[in-house]
Parts: sequence; structure tokens; C-alpha cells
Amino acid sequence: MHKLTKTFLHLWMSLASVAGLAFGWAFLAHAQKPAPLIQSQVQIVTSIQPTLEPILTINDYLMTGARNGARSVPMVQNSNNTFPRLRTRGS
Amino acid sequence: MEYDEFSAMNTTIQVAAEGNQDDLKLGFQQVRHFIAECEACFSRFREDSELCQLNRSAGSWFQASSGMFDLMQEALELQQLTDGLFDPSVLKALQQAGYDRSIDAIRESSPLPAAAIPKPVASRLGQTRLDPASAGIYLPAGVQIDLGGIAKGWIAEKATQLLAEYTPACAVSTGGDMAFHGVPVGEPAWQVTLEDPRDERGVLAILQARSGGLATSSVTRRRWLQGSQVRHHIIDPRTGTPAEVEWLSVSVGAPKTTAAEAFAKAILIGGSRVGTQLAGKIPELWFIAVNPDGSLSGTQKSKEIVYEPVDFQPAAPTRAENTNTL
Repeated sequence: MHKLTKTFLHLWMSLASVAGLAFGWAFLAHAQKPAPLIQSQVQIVTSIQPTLEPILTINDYLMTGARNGARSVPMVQNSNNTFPRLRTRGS
Repeated sequence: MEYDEFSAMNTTIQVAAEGNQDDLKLGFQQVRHFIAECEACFSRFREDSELCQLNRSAGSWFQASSGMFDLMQEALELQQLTDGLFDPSVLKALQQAGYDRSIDAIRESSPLPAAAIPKPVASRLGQTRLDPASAGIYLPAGVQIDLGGIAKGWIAEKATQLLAEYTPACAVSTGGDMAFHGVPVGEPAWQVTLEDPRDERGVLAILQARSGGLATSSVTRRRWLQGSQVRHHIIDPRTGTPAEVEWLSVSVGAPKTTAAEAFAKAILIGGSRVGTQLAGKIPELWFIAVNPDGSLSGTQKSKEIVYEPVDFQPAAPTRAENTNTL
């Protein structure tokens, strides 16, 4: 009787181990995987902090226009065709 | 478009509005009257101004007008937002640097006598207390306020709101601190010339402002000699002396003119590191800085603001032009 119980216990533990391994494998196989590294997303993250860039001045436009052979560079396109009167400077 | 231009607060005021000349006449008059009232209230050169009374009351509670309370509240918030680089409590340092009378009076008596360099003093503006229920302001004893720049921004905002009752599109500039309401019919934006800080007759760029505020801080507009030292009015609160800057001027766009003014000052003092940090923190903020050689640097967002001629065909950059100097 004692031997029979021991055999049953060994068998039960073996089956439980195999079942546990199978369950674990199935669980991991269907689990959500981490997204692969996408370079464009990395760039978005790193560009949150803005950087400074050169900005063309009116003079840059004039000089470039002259190099390109333009007779003049259209400076202002407002409906009155006038130079804007509002100006900003250090107060 | 109707314009009005006059001198007040030791600077040039520009008012622009779209609409019928007769209708706008009353609006322009109200703006002039409002600015005269504000000058009497916020000037540090008038002994009877509310600002001078507030400074004299340091160490005890002061009953402020709603305008003064509003302005102080904004100033305190902006001081925190800029980590103290914008600080209106630098009045003593400004006076020690020689700016103890109007800029016109300084220019007449320049060079001023030499003065000892003051020791840096930690700002105590943060200890200021406000009581919204009674519009009470408590300045810590010894703290003295100069609201010069931010007051101009606040006045531009309020004057624009006043004028907006007469027109759907108007703009007010108080020496370069500008507020906008609406845009002129048929135009995508207000066009504003960015003055060359090296020569006030020169224009470096045309900016397209759609709404909110725009302000410029410069170290070249208000300069004088103190002994053999060239001084300017942008005080670095960390040192208590005129700031050593990497740019000649900084122009900032922000939803409010008061904020634009404070950020312009903070970025001019703090340089590119502070500028990019603030631009990263506040999505609506853009800024353009003028380098000592007159070239411009700015955030990506500021490129949308700078007017580009419609027919402009950029030339292929030469090797030298392609070099990023930043």
C-alpha cells in the first residue's frame, strides 16, 4: 500500500512538472512582446529639446537673390505693398 | 490700416488698427489716456507713482490697485518659471550700475562716476506675499521692485484689449513689446520688422505674428558709460551686475506679452542653454537671437515666423555657408 502511494506521488509530480512547463511555454509564447527599436521614434524622443538653427536675414535673401541673377527680391507681400511699420527692438 | 505713434515711458508707442478712421479715433484716444495713466502708476522715476509707494512700503502690507496686483502676480509666477533669471527685484543693482534716472538723463550726463562692483545678493522676491482678497502686497524689507519691461508688456496687452472693442484687428507696441488681436483682412499675419540691435535704422528680418505677444530684449538700446565701463540695463540676478551675454538681442513669441518679455530677458541672460530649455518646456514659445555679427539663430519654430520671400530660390550652399557655426 505504501509503495503504491509512493509511485502515485512520483507519477503525479512528474505529470504536474510537465504540465507546468507546457503552461509556462504557452503563456510566454502568447505574451505581448516588446516593440522592436524604431529609429524614427528614437529621434522624436531626442528632439523634444529644441536646438538652435541659423535663420536667414533679409540681407542673406538679397545676396542670394543677387547671386541667382534676380534683379530684386520681393521683400514684402502685404496687400498695401508697403514696408511694415510695426517694429520690435529692445525696450 | 490706421496708425498712431507717440512717445511715452521713455520709448516709442505704436498703435495699429484696421477699420474706419472716425471709429478708431476714440479708441486711439483711449489708448493714449490709458498709457499715460499706467506711466504715472508704474514709473520708478516718479516719486508719487504707485510703484514708488509700493517700494517705500517694503516690510509692511501695501494696498495695491487691481492693475498693480495683477502685474505683481504675473511677475512672481514668471520669476519662478524662469528659475529666477527674470527678477524684477534687481532695482538696487540697476541703480548701482548707474541707471538711477531716466535713460535720457543718463545719456546727457554720461559718463557717470565709477562705482564699486556690488556683491551678489540672493533674491528675496520669493518671500513676497500676495493677498488676492484685499489686493494686498507684502514686499520683504529691503526688496525694491522695477517693473519696467514687464509693465510695458502688460500695458501693450491691456491697450490691445481696450482697442479690440473698436476693431477686429489691432496691435500695440510699447517700445518693441507687442500684443496682437486678430489679423488684418487679407493678410495671414501682422508683419513686424526685427530691428538690427547694432543700428536702429537697419532691419534684420520681417516676422509674421498672428496672435499673443512678442517682445525683444537687447543690451544695445540702453547703454551708458560708468567710469570706463560700458553698462546696460539687463541685470543678471545671479551677479547683480549687467549681464555678460552671448547675443545682442533676443526676440520671443509667447501667448502673452508679459511672458514674452520675461522669457526674452531670461534667455538673453541665460543664453542658448536656457533658451532651448524654455522652448522645450513651453510649446508655444519661439525665439530668435541676434549674434554679435548680425546673423540670426533661432528655434525650428521661429522659422515659421520669419517671412520668406515668395519667389525666393535658395542657392546651393557653398562649403563655407554649409558650416554650422552653432
